[in-house]
Amino acid sequence: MTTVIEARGLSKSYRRTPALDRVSFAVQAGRIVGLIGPNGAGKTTALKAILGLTPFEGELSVLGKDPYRERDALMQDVCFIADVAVLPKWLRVSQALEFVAGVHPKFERARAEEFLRKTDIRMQSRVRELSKGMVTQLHLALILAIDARLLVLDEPTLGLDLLYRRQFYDTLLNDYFDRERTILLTTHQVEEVEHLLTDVIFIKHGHIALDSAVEGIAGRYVQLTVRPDQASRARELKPFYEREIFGRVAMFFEGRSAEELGALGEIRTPSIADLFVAKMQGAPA
Amino acid sequence: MNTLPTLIRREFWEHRVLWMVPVAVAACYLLFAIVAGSMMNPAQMNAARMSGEGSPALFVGVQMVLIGFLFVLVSIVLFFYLADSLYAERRDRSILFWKSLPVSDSATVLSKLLVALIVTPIGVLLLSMVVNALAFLIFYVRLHDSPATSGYVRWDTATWFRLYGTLFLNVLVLALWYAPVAAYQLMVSAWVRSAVFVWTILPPLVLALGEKLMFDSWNIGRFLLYRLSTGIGGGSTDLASVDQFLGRISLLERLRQPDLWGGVAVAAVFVYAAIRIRRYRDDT
Repeated sequence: MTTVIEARGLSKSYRRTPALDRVSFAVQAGRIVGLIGPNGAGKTTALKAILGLTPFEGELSVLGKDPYRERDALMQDVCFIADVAVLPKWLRVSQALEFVAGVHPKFERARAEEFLRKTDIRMQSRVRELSKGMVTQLHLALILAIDARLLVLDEPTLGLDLLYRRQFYDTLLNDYFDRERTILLTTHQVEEVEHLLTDVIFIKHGHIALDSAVEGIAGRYVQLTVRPDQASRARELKPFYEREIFGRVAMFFEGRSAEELGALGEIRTPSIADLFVAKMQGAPA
Repeated sequence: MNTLPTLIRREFWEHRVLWMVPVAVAACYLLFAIVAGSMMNPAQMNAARMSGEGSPALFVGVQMVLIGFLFVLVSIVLFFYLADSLYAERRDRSILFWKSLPVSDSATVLSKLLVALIVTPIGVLLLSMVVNALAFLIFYVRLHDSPATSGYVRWDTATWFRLYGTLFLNVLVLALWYAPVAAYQLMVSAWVRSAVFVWTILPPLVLALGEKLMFDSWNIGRFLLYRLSTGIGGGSTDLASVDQFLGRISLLERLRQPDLWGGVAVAAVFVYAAIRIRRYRDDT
């Protein structure tokens, strides 16, 4: 398996406030990685470093290149949707296709047109005349038609309604993703991407709180739900986070076997969203 | 894939005034020619008042009216274009889209410089050629069969070639001459967070007025005005001789002046700064 992104001791500070503090991680080809963290945790900073938009300390290699120094070459193989609605308001749909076709060697115009035909977007429309959801569709159409190796998405569905959000991720999964391609995305809406991620990286205060393949979570984390009278016994096993739900206590354990905990109450593998909350609010990583 | 032509077309998509203003003026001019031509009565025209054997000079002088007007107008349009060119994309955050494509910052900045200094001026000159030829045709149809006025509507191919040859060369010389001004504007446009017009005008203004107040001298002001003027001398408006006229407006001599090349060197520094700022600033 080839490594698409490799960060070692990646650091970045804004006016002495560290946004990323000696972070190390690797992303393999053919994975869909969710970079998940609360606001200000350093997600966007990490993405900017990966895209060569900001200088950084430490080592970072994207597709074998230094993203800051070799940005121009790197952008032939990397696509990104940074935030929503950064397509300029004056741009016509036809001009967007024309422009990308003119500057991108790996853009296949017919593919973008085919995708756009399935939407309500008209070629002569300007971006300012489109709804937010349609602008995202247009951006997605451009991206789908580029044969890139790494796609970076920073909150791509922020502010969209449920239908557009669902459609966005479905298209991404069905029409774009394959073994050769890698997707790195950040989002607040963890529940929505949960089922499509192959890997998760939780980031908190500039540190990595969790870095795991999704299939690895089941063996490592257990969510135990107990009645309050069992809580003190369960606590002896040192959960890293607990919260009360409907009069019962949900506790989150790392590195405890299911057999050991099963005797105390109901056990299950925590969802990524629950695990995220547990990791963010529980003891420091 | 052809990056530079695409980048140049992009500029005309975004800044439609660049082509709409000259086209609108040209259209008005033609309309005026049609109306004026239809109201003229060749029989009543005072041949004596319009006397002067130099009809080639008249031929040139009439064309210069439209050309002069268009270029004054387009320089104003270009001032606003350059101020906005690297600022608007940061204001609407579309820079993140442009930067998601494999286009270098150098190519982007250079495309804007080319649009301002070469593509638009050459385009305006070509437009003037066509419109002047059409206007000539309109008057010719109206006046050519009258003995009193036929002399004034004589097409002169040799003069025509010499006029536009001189003007094309002038556009190229002026591109070099104004390069530092345009490059300065690009740098400011890439740099400032707000009030781009104020920041464009303020530094030179403060320098010039500061010198005036502190030393009661006007060297900086004079220098700036000198760099802003075309250097096409006023002088005699005598249209008697085409040679004299073309000699007066030709700027080819400028190529021998160190001033011009010094300006080009300064422009290179400003362009480099604009590219660096666009590449390395991180506030979106």
